[in-house]
Amino acid sequence: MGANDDLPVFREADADISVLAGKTITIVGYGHLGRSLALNFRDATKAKVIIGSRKDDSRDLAEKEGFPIFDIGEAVAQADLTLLLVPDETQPEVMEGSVRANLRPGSALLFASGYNLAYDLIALPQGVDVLLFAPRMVGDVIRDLFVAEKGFLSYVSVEQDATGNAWPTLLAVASAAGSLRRGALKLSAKQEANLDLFGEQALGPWLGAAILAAYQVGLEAGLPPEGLLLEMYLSGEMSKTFQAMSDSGFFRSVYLHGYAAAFGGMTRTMAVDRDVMMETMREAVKDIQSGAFAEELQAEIEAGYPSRAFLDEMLGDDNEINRIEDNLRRKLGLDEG
Amino acid sequence: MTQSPPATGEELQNILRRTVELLNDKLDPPQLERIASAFQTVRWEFNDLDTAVHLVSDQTGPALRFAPSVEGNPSVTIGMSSKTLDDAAWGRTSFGTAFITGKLKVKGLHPLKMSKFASMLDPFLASYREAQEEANGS
Repeated sequence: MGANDDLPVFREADADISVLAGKTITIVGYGHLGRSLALNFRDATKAKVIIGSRKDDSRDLAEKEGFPIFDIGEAVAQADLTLLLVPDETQPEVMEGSVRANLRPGSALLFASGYNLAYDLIALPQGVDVLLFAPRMVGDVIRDLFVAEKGFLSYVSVEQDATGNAWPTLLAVASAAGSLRRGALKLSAKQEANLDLFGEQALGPWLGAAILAAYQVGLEAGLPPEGLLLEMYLSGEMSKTFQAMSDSGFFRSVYLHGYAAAFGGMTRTMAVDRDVMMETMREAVKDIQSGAFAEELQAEIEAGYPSRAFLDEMLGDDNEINRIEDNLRRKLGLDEG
Repeated sequence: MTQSPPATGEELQNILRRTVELLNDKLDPPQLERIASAFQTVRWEFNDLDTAVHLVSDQTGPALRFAPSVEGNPSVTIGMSSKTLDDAAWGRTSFGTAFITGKLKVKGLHPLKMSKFASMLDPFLASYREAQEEANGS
Protein backbone atom coordinates (compact mmCIF):
# COMPACT_ATOMS: atom_id res chain seq x y z
CA MET A 1 0.00 0.00 0.00
CA GLY A 2 1.40 3.40 -0.87
CA ALA A 3 1.31 6.34 -3.25
CA ASN A 4 -0.10 5.46 -6.67
CA ASP A 5 2.07 7.06 -9.34
CA ASP A 6 -0.15 5.60 -12.07
CA LEU A 7 -3.32 7.43 -11.01
CA PRO A 8 -4.22 9.57 -14.05
CA VAL A 9 -4.62 13.27 -13.25
CA PHE A 10 -5.86 15.79 -15.80
CA ARG A 11 -5.06 19.51 -15.90
CA GLU A 12 -5.94 22.43 -18.18
CA ALA A 13 -3.31 21.43 -20.72
CA ASP A 14 -5.10 18.10 -21.27
CA ALA A 15 -8.36 19.72 -22.37
CA ASP A 16 -9.52 21.54 -25.50
CA ILE A 17 -12.48 23.62 -24.49
CA SER A 18 -13.21 24.52 -28.13
CA VAL A 19 -14.76 21.07 -28.71
CA LEU A 20 -17.85 22.47 -26.99
CA ALA A 21 -18.12 25.48 -29.34
CA GLY A 22 -21.40 25.60 -31.23
CA LYS A 23 -22.82 22.69 -29.23
CA THR A 24 -26.01 22.77 -27.20
CA ILE A 25 -25.49 21.90 -23.55
CA THR A 26 -28.62 20.99 -21.60
CA ILE A 27 -28.55 21.20 -17.85
CA VAL A 28 -31.33 19.14 -16.26
CA GLY A 29 -31.91 20.52 -12.78
CA TYR A 30 -31.04 24.08 -11.78
CA GLY A 31 -30.03 23.42 -8.18
CA HIS A 32 -26.75 24.51 -6.58
CA LEU A 33 -24.59 22.44 -8.91
CA GLY A 34 -26.73 22.90 -12.02
CA ARG A 35 -26.76 26.67 -11.59
CA SER A 36 -23.00 26.91 -11.02
CA LEU A 37 -22.17 24.75 -14.02
CA ALA A 38 -24.66 26.53 -16.28
CA LEU A 39 -23.17 29.94 -15.42
CA ASN A 40 -19.60 28.65 -15.76
CA PHE A 41 -20.29 27.01 -19.14
CA ARG A 42 -21.95 30.16 -20.43
CA ASP A 43 -18.91 32.22 -19.43
CA ALA A 44 -16.22 29.73 -20.49
CA THR A 45 -17.50 28.26 -23.75
CA LYS A 46 -19.08 29.22 -27.03
CA ALA A 47 -21.77 26.63 -26.47
CA LYS A 48 -25.48 27.34 -26.17
CA VAL A 49 -26.52 26.52 -22.60
CA ILE A 50 -30.18 25.70 -21.99
CA ILE A 51 -32.04 24.42 -18.94
CA GLY A 52 -34.42 21.50 -18.67
CA SER A 53 -36.54 21.88 -15.58
CA ARG A 54 -39.85 21.11 -13.98
CA LYS A 55 -41.99 24.08 -13.04
CA ASP A 56 -40.54 25.13 -9.70
CA ASP A 57 -38.59 27.95 -8.03
CA SER A 58 -35.30 26.87 -9.59
CA ARG A 59 -36.87 27.18 -13.03
CA ASP A 60 -37.87 30.77 -12.24
CA LEU A 61 -34.32 31.52 -11.10
CA ALA A 62 -32.84 30.08 -14.31
CA GLU A 63 -35.20 32.20 -16.36
CA LYS A 64 -34.30 35.29 -14.35
CA GLU A 65 -30.62 34.57 -14.97
CA GLY A 66 -31.21 34.59 -18.68
CA PHE A 67 -31.20 30.93 -19.67
CA PRO A 68 -33.63 29.49 -22.20
CA ILE A 69 -35.90 27.11 -20.27
CA PHE A 70 -37.68 24.04 -21.61
CA ASP A 71 -39.47 21.06 -20.23
CA ILE A 72 -36.90 18.35 -19.59
CA GLY A 73 -37.66 16.13 -22.58
CA GLU A 74 -37.72 19.09 -24.94
CA ALA A 75 -34.37 20.36 -23.65
CA VAL A 76 -32.74 16.92 -23.90
CA ALA A 77 -33.94 16.51 -27.49
CA GLN A 78 -31.92 19.59 -28.49
CA ALA A 79 -28.75 18.61 -26.66
CA ASP A 80 -25.34 17.57 -27.87
CA LEU A 81 -24.49 17.18 -24.20
CA THR A 82 -27.00 16.59 -21.39
CA LEU A 83 -26.03 16.96 -17.75
CA LEU A 84 -28.42 15.06 -15.48
CA LEU A 85 -28.09 17.02 -12.24
CA VAL A 86 -31.20 16.11 -10.29
CA PRO A 87 -30.73 14.32 -6.91
CA ASP A 88 -29.60 10.70 -7.05
CA GLU A 89 -32.87 9.38 -5.67
CA THR A 90 -34.97 11.02 -8.39
CA GLN A 91 -32.57 10.41 -11.30
CA PRO A 92 -33.97 7.03 -12.37
CA GLU A 93 -37.49 8.44 -12.60
CA VAL A 94 -36.36 11.53 -14.56
CA MET A 95 -34.13 9.40 -16.77
CA GLU A 96 -36.92 7.02 -17.75
CA GLY A 97 -39.67 9.62 -17.77
CA SER A 98 -38.05 12.42 -19.75
CA VAL A 99 -34.44 11.82 -20.72
CA ARG A 100 -33.79 8.41 -22.27
CA ALA A 101 -36.27 8.60 -25.13
CA ASN A 102 -35.12 12.10 -26.07
CA LEU A 103 -31.35 11.56 -26.15
CA ARG A 104 -29.99 12.16 -29.63
CA PRO A 105 -27.77 9.38 -31.06
CA GLY A 106 -24.14 10.47 -30.83
CA SER A 107 -24.81 12.95 -28.05
CA ALA A 108 -23.35 12.70 -24.56
CA LEU A 109 -25.02 12.19 -21.19
CA LEU A 110 -23.12 13.33 -18.12
CA PHE A 111 -23.64 12.48 -14.46
CA ALA A 112 -22.14 14.36 -11.52
CA SER A 113 -22.55 11.38 -9.20
CA GLY A 114 -21.75 7.76 -9.96
CA TYR A 115 -24.43 6.34 -7.66
CA ASN A 116 -27.08 5.24 -10.15
CA LEU A 117 -24.52 3.92 -12.64
CA ALA A 118 -22.61 2.05 -9.95
CA TYR A 119 -25.67 0.20 -8.70
CA ASP A 120 -27.28 -0.39 -12.11
CA LEU A 121 -30.26 1.78 -11.22
CA ILE A 122 -29.90 3.47 -14.59
CA ALA A 123 -29.02 1.34 -17.60
CA LEU A 124 -26.58 2.91 -20.03
CA PRO A 125 -28.47 4.35 -23.03
CA GLN A 126 -27.33 2.96 -26.38
CA GLY A 127 -25.46 5.06 -28.95
CA VAL A 128 -24.65 7.80 -26.46
CA ASP A 129 -21.44 8.71 -24.65
CA VAL A 130 -21.89 8.35 -20.89
CA LEU A 131 -19.61 10.51 -18.79
CA LEU A 132 -18.95 11.11 -15.12
CA PHE A 133 -17.76 14.49 -13.88
CA ALA A 134 -18.00 14.46 -10.10
CA PRO A 135 -16.83 17.66 -8.40
CA ARG A 136 -15.37 17.26 -4.91
CA MET A 137 -16.79 20.62 -3.96
CA VAL A 138 -20.09 22.06 -2.77
CA GLY A 139 -22.29 23.08 -5.70
CA ASP A 140 -22.59 26.82 -5.14
CA VAL A 141 -18.91 27.20 -4.21
CA ILE A 142 -18.04 25.98 -7.71
CA ARG A 143 -19.36 29.25 -9.10
CA ASP A 144 -17.50 31.31 -6.48
CA LEU A 145 -14.24 29.55 -7.29
CA PHE A 146 -14.76 30.02 -11.02
CA VAL A 147 -15.34 33.74 -10.57
CA ALA A 148 -12.22 33.93 -8.38
CA GLU A 149 -10.30 32.04 -11.11
CA LYS A 150 -9.58 29.19 -8.73
CA GLY A 151 -10.09 25.50 -9.38
CA PHE A 152 -11.51 22.51 -7.52
CA LEU A 153 -10.82 18.81 -7.59
CA SER A 154 -13.06 16.36 -9.36
CA TYR A 155 -13.30 12.75 -10.47
CA VAL A 156 -13.81 11.98 -14.13
CA SER A 157 -14.52 8.84 -16.08
CA VAL A 158 -15.94 7.69 -19.38
CA GLU A 159 -18.49 5.00 -18.64
CA GLN A 160 -19.38 4.46 -22.30
CA ASP A 161 -17.58 5.79 -25.37
CA ALA A 162 -20.10 5.43 -28.19
CA THR A 163 -18.62 8.11 -30.44
CA GLY A 164 -14.91 7.78 -29.84
CA ASN A 165 -14.92 11.40 -28.67
CA ALA A 166 -16.06 10.88 -25.11
CA TRP A 167 -12.77 11.82 -23.43
CA PRO A 168 -12.27 15.14 -25.30
CA THR A 169 -15.87 16.08 -24.45
CA LEU A 170 -15.46 15.12 -20.80
CA LEU A 171 -12.20 16.99 -20.32
CA ALA A 172 -13.64 20.07 -22.04
CA VAL A 173 -16.54 19.95 -19.57
CA ALA A 174 -14.17 19.62 -16.61
CA SER A 175 -12.14 22.54 -17.93
CA ALA A 176 -15.14 24.76 -18.64
CA ALA A 177 -16.49 24.05 -15.15
CA GLY A 178 -13.22 25.32 -13.72
CA SER A 179 -12.05 22.05 -12.22
CA LEU A 180 -8.89 21.56 -14.25
CA ARG A 181 -7.31 24.69 -12.78
CA ARG A 182 -6.83 22.40 -9.77
CA GLY A 183 -7.10 18.94 -11.34
CA ALA A 184 -9.30 15.93 -12.09
CA LEU A 185 -8.55 12.33 -11.13
CA LYS A 186 -9.68 9.41 -13.25
CA LEU A 187 -11.94 7.23 -11.12
CA SER A 188 -14.85 5.10 -12.31
CA ALA A 189 -18.49 5.73 -11.38
CA LYS A 190 -18.37 2.70 -9.11
CA GLN A 191 -15.24 3.96 -7.37
CA GLU A 192 -16.72 7.44 -7.02
CA ALA A 193 -19.98 6.13 -5.59
CA ASN A 194 -18.18 3.82 -3.17
CA LEU A 195 -15.89 6.61 -1.98
CA ASP A 196 -18.72 9.10 -1.64
CA LEU A 197 -20.85 6.70 0.40
CA PHE A 198 -17.86 5.57 2.44
CA GLY A 199 -17.10 9.15 3.48
CA GLU A 200 -20.75 9.68 4.41
CA GLN A 201 -21.19 6.38 6.26
CA ALA A 202 -17.79 5.54 7.72
CA LEU A 203 -16.32 8.91 8.63
CA GLY A 204 -19.42 11.12 8.84
CA PRO A 205 -21.25 9.25 11.62
CA TRP A 206 -18.15 9.22 13.84
CA LEU A 207 -17.61 12.95 13.34
CA GLY A 208 -21.24 13.66 14.14
CA ALA A 209 -21.32 11.26 17.08
CA ALA A 210 -18.05 12.71 18.41
CA ILE A 211 -19.51 16.22 18.44
CA LEU A 212 -22.71 15.08 20.16
CA ALA A 213 -20.80 12.99 22.69
CA ALA A 214 -18.33 15.79 23.43
CA TYR A 215 -21.24 18.18 23.90
CA GLN A 216 -22.88 15.88 26.46
CA VAL A 217 -19.65 15.17 28.32
CA GLY A 218 -18.75 18.86 28.31
CA LEU A 219 -22.12 19.73 29.82
CA GLU A 220 -21.69 17.03 32.48
CA ALA A 221 -18.34 18.64 33.34
CA GLY A 222 -19.96 22.04 33.75
CA LEU A 223 -18.59 23.63 30.58
CA PRO A 224 -20.82 26.29 29.04
CA PRO A 225 -22.93 24.95 26.15
CA GLU A 226 -22.31 28.04 24.02
CA GLY A 227 -18.55 27.63 24.47
CA LEU A 228 -18.75 23.95 23.56
CA LEU A 229 -20.46 24.68 20.26
CA LEU A 230 -18.08 27.53 19.47
CA GLU A 231 -15.10 25.34 20.24
CA MET A 232 -16.28 22.40 18.16
CA TYR A 233 -17.47 24.15 15.00
CA LEU A 234 -19.36 27.39 15.41
CA SER A 235 -16.35 29.71 15.58
CA GLY A 236 -15.08 28.36 12.26
CA GLU A 237 -11.74 27.40 13.82
CA MET A 238 -12.43 23.72 13.23
CA SER A 239 -13.15 24.30 9.55
CA LYS A 240 -9.77 26.06 9.36
CA THR A 241 -8.24 22.95 10.91
CA PHE A 242 -9.66 20.87 8.07
CA GLN A 243 -8.50 23.51 5.61
CA ALA A 244 -5.02 23.23 7.07
CA MET A 245 -5.13 19.45 6.53
CA SER A 246 -5.99 20.13 2.90
CA ASP A 247 -3.31 22.79 2.50
CA SER A 248 -0.45 21.32 4.53
CA GLY A 249 -1.29 17.64 5.03
CA PHE A 250 -3.07 15.58 7.68
CA PHE A 251 0.00 15.04 9.87
CA ARG A 252 1.97 18.09 8.76
CA SER A 253 -0.78 20.45 9.90
CA VAL A 254 -0.75 19.20 13.49
CA TYR A 255 2.04 21.46 14.79
CA LEU A 256 0.24 24.51 13.38
CA HIS A 257 -1.98 24.29 16.47
CA GLY A 258 0.89 24.46 18.95
CA TYR A 259 2.61 21.86 21.12
CA ALA A 260 -0.10 21.65 23.78
CA ALA A 261 -2.69 20.77 21.13
CA ALA A 262 -0.38 18.26 19.46
CA PHE A 263 0.63 16.62 22.77
CA GLY A 264 -2.95 16.45 24.09
CA GLY A 265 -4.26 15.18 20.76
CA MET A 266 -1.59 12.51 20.52
CA THR A 267 -2.04 11.17 24.04
CA ARG A 268 -5.83 11.07 23.79
CA THR A 269 -5.76 9.53 20.30
CA MET A 270 -3.73 6.69 21.76
CA ALA A 271 -6.54 6.05 24.25
CA VAL A 272 -9.22 5.76 21.56
CA ASP A 273 -10.43 2.24 20.81
CA ARG A 274 -9.96 2.27 17.06
CA ASP A 275 -10.97 -1.39 16.72
CA VAL A 276 -14.59 -0.55 17.60
CA MET A 277 -14.54 2.34 15.16
CA MET A 278 -13.04 0.22 12.42
CA GLU A 279 -15.56 -2.55 12.91
CA THR A 280 -18.49 -0.22 12.17
CA MET A 281 -16.58 1.15 9.19
CA ARG A 282 -15.98 -2.37 7.87
CA GLU A 283 -19.71 -3.07 8.14
CA ALA A 284 -20.45 0.15 6.29
CA VAL A 285 -18.05 -0.54 3.44
CA LYS A 286 -19.27 -4.12 3.15
CA ASP A 287 -22.85 -2.92 2.70
CA ILE A 288 -21.75 -0.23 0.26
CA GLN A 289 -19.69 -2.55 -1.91
CA SER A 290 -22.18 -5.41 -1.88
CA GLY A 291 -25.00 -3.10 -2.93
CA ALA A 292 -26.96 -3.82 0.26
CA PHE A 293 -27.09 -0.13 1.15
CA ALA A 294 -28.32 0.82 -2.32
CA GLU A 295 -31.03 -1.87 -2.07
CA GLU A 296 -32.12 -0.55 1.32
CA LEU A 297 -32.20 3.04 0.09
CA GLN A 298 -34.27 1.94 -2.89
CA ALA A 299 -36.70 0.15 -0.56
CA GLU A 300 -36.88 3.31 1.59
CA ILE A 301 -37.71 5.41 -1.49
CA GLU A 302 -40.28 2.94 -2.80
CA ALA A 303 -41.95 2.71 0.62
CA GLY A 304 -42.43 6.49 0.69
CA TYR A 305 -39.45 7.43 2.92
CA PRO A 306 -40.63 5.85 6.22
CA SER A 307 -37.44 6.93 8.01
CA ARG A 308 -37.82 10.56 6.97
CA ALA A 309 -39.92 11.56 9.99
CA PHE A 310 -37.32 10.20 12.40
CA LEU A 311 -34.55 12.01 10.52
CA ASP A 312 -36.55 15.24 10.57
CA GLU A 313 -37.03 14.85 14.31
CA MET A 314 -33.30 14.38 14.80
CA LEU A 315 -32.43 17.44 12.75
CA GLY A 316 -35.48 19.56 13.52
CA ASP A 317 -35.78 22.81 15.43
CA ASP A 318 -36.94 21.16 18.63
CA ASN A 319 -33.53 20.54 20.12
CA GLU A 320 -31.21 22.27 22.51
CA ILE A 321 -28.29 22.63 20.13
CA ASN A 322 -30.38 24.48 17.55
CA ARG A 323 -31.68 26.84 20.24
CA ILE A 324 -28.20 27.59 21.56
CA GLU A 325 -26.89 28.13 18.03
CA ASP A 326 -29.73 30.55 17.25
CA ASN A 327 -29.11 32.48 20.44
CA LEU A 328 -25.38 32.71 19.79
CA ARG A 329 -25.86 33.73 16.18
CA ARG A 330 -28.13 36.54 17.31
CA LYS A 331 -25.84 37.73 20.08
CA LEU A 332 -22.64 37.52 18.07
CA GLY A 333 -24.13 38.61 14.77
CA LEU A 334 -22.69 35.48 13.13
CA ASP A 335 -25.16 35.65 10.25
CA GLU A 336 -24.08 39.16 9.39
CA GLY A 337 -20.89 37.86 7.80
CA MET B 1 -56.06 15.70 28.08
CA THR B 2 -53.11 15.29 30.46
CA GLN B 3 -52.41 11.69 31.39
CA SER B 4 -50.62 10.49 34.50
CA PRO B 5 -47.40 8.77 33.49
CA PRO B 6 -46.82 5.32 34.96
CA ALA B 7 -45.28 5.64 38.41
CA THR B 8 -44.08 2.08 38.85
CA GLY B 9 -42.52 -0.61 36.74
CA GLU B 10 -45.64 -2.71 37.09
CA GLU B 11 -47.86 0.11 35.82
CA LEU B 12 -45.57 0.66 32.89
CA GLN B 13 -45.52 -3.05 32.06
CA ASN B 14 -49.29 -3.17 32.08
CA ILE B 15 -49.52 -0.19 29.76
CA LEU B 16 -46.92 -1.65 27.42
CA ARG B 17 -48.62 -5.05 27.41
CA ARG B 18 -51.79 -3.34 26.20
CA THR B 19 -49.71 -1.15 23.83
CA VAL B 20 -48.47 -4.24 22.03
CA GLU B 21 -52.00 -5.63 21.70
CA LEU B 22 -53.16 -2.36 20.16
CA LEU B 23 -50.07 -2.16 17.96
CA ASN B 24 -50.99 -5.43 16.29
CA ASP B 25 -54.25 -3.84 15.15
CA LYS B 26 -52.47 -0.81 13.74
CA LEU B 27 -49.94 -2.67 11.61
CA ASP B 28 -51.07 -4.55 8.55
CA PRO B 29 -49.73 -8.07 7.86
CA PRO B 30 -47.06 -6.92 5.35
CA GLN B 31 -45.76 -4.40 7.92
CA LEU B 32 -45.69 -7.09 10.59
CA GLU B 33 -43.85 -9.42 8.23
CA ARG B 34 -41.24 -6.74 7.47
CA ILE B 35 -40.70 -6.13 11.18
CA ALA B 36 -40.49 -9.85 11.90
CA SER B 37 -37.93 -10.28 9.12
CA ALA B 38 -35.71 -7.66 10.74
CA PHE B 39 -36.17 -8.16 14.47
CA GLN B 40 -36.86 -11.23 16.53
CA THR B 41 -36.90 -9.34 19.82
CA VAL B 42 -36.79 -5.66 20.71
CA ARG B 43 -35.90 -5.05 24.35
CA TRP B 44 -37.08 -1.79 25.92
CA GLU B 45 -35.22 -0.78 29.06
CA PHE B 46 -36.55 1.85 31.47
CA ASN B 47 -33.81 2.37 33.99
CA ASP B 48 -35.68 4.91 36.13
CA LEU B 49 -38.29 2.27 36.95
CA ASP B 50 -35.83 -0.61 36.83
CA THR B 51 -37.99 -2.32 34.25
CA ALA B 52 -37.42 -4.00 30.92
CA VAL B 53 -39.98 -5.40 28.51
CA HIS B 54 -39.71 -7.22 25.19
CA LEU B 55 -41.51 -6.91 21.93
CA VAL B 56 -41.28 -10.29 20.28
CA SER B 57 -42.02 -10.96 16.62
CA ASP B 58 -44.03 -14.08 16.13
CA GLN B 59 -42.48 -15.37 12.93
CA THR B 60 -45.50 -17.45 11.97
CA GLY B 61 -48.24 -14.95 12.87
CA PRO B 62 -47.32 -12.48 11.73
CA ALA B 63 -47.89 -10.74 15.04
CA LEU B 64 -46.09 -8.99 17.85
CA ARG B 65 -46.37 -10.12 21.43
CA PHE B 66 -45.37 -8.69 24.78
CA ALA B 67 -42.95 -10.56 27.02
CA PRO B 68 -41.53 -9.43 30.37
CA SER B 69 -38.47 -11.56 29.74
CA VAL B 70 -37.03 -13.71 26.97
CA GLU B 71 -34.24 -16.21 26.53
CA GLY B 72 -31.20 -15.22 24.53
CA ASN B 73 -30.04 -11.84 23.33
CA PRO B 74 -32.45 -9.28 21.88
CA SER B 75 -32.06 -8.13 18.27
CA VAL B 76 -32.19 -4.51 19.38
CA THR B 77 -32.11 -2.83 22.78
CA ILE B 78 -33.68 0.56 23.34
CA GLY B 79 -32.94 2.38 26.56
CA MET B 80 -34.66 5.48 27.92
CA SER B 81 -36.52 6.74 30.96
CA SER B 82 -40.25 6.19 31.30
CA LYS B 83 -40.57 10.00 31.21
CA THR B 84 -38.89 10.15 27.80
CA LEU B 85 -41.33 7.56 26.47
CA ASP B 86 -44.23 9.46 27.97
CA ASP B 87 -42.94 12.78 26.59
CA ALA B 88 -42.52 11.27 23.12
CA ALA B 89 -46.00 9.76 23.20
CA TRP B 90 -47.63 13.06 24.15
CA GLY B 91 -45.61 15.27 21.83
CA ARG B 92 -43.41 16.95 24.44
CA THR B 93 -40.38 15.52 22.67
CA SER B 94 -39.77 13.03 19.88
CA PHE B 95 -37.73 9.87 19.67
CA GLY B 96 -35.45 11.60 17.15
CA THR B 97 -34.74 14.50 19.50
CA ALA B 98 -34.33 12.14 22.44
CA PHE B 99 -31.80 10.11 20.48
CA ILE B 100 -29.77 13.14 19.50
CA THR B 101 -29.67 14.43 23.06
CA GLY B 102 -28.68 11.06 24.49
CA LYS B 103 -31.97 10.46 26.29
CA LEU B 104 -32.73 7.51 24.06
CA LYS B 105 -30.07 4.93 23.35
CA VAL B 106 -30.24 2.24 20.72
CA LYS B 107 -27.96 -0.79 20.65
CA GLY B 108 -27.75 -3.45 17.98
CA LEU B 109 -29.83 -1.75 15.30
CA HIS B 110 -28.24 -2.60 11.99
CA PRO B 111 -28.24 0.58 9.87
CA LEU B 112 -29.92 -1.21 7.01
CA LYS B 113 -32.88 -2.14 9.21
CA MET B 114 -33.63 1.47 10.15
CA SER B 115 -36.58 1.77 7.75
CA LYS B 116 -38.31 -1.23 9.28
CA PHE B 117 -37.67 0.07 12.78
CA ALA B 118 -38.83 3.61 11.98
CA SER B 119 -42.07 2.40 10.46
CA MET B 120 -43.04 0.92 13.81
CA LEU B 121 -42.48 4.04 15.94
CA ASP B 122 -45.53 6.18 15.22
CA PRO B 123 -48.00 3.28 15.56
CA PHE B 124 -46.21 2.26 18.75
CA LEU B 125 -46.60 5.72 20.28
CA ALA B 126 -50.24 5.95 19.19
CA SER B 127 -50.88 2.57 20.82
CA TYR B 128 -49.12 3.71 24.00
CA ARG B 129 -51.36 6.78 24.20
CA GLU B 130 -54.48 4.66 23.84
CA ALA B 131 -53.23 2.16 26.39
CA GLN B 132 -52.45 4.92 28.84
CA GLU B 133 -55.86 6.52 28.38
CA GLU B 134 -57.48 3.15 29.05
CA ALA B 135 -55.36 2.70 32.17
CA ASN B 136 -56.30 6.13 33.43
CA GLY B 137 -59.96 5.52 32.66
CA SER B 138 -60.31 8.47 30.30
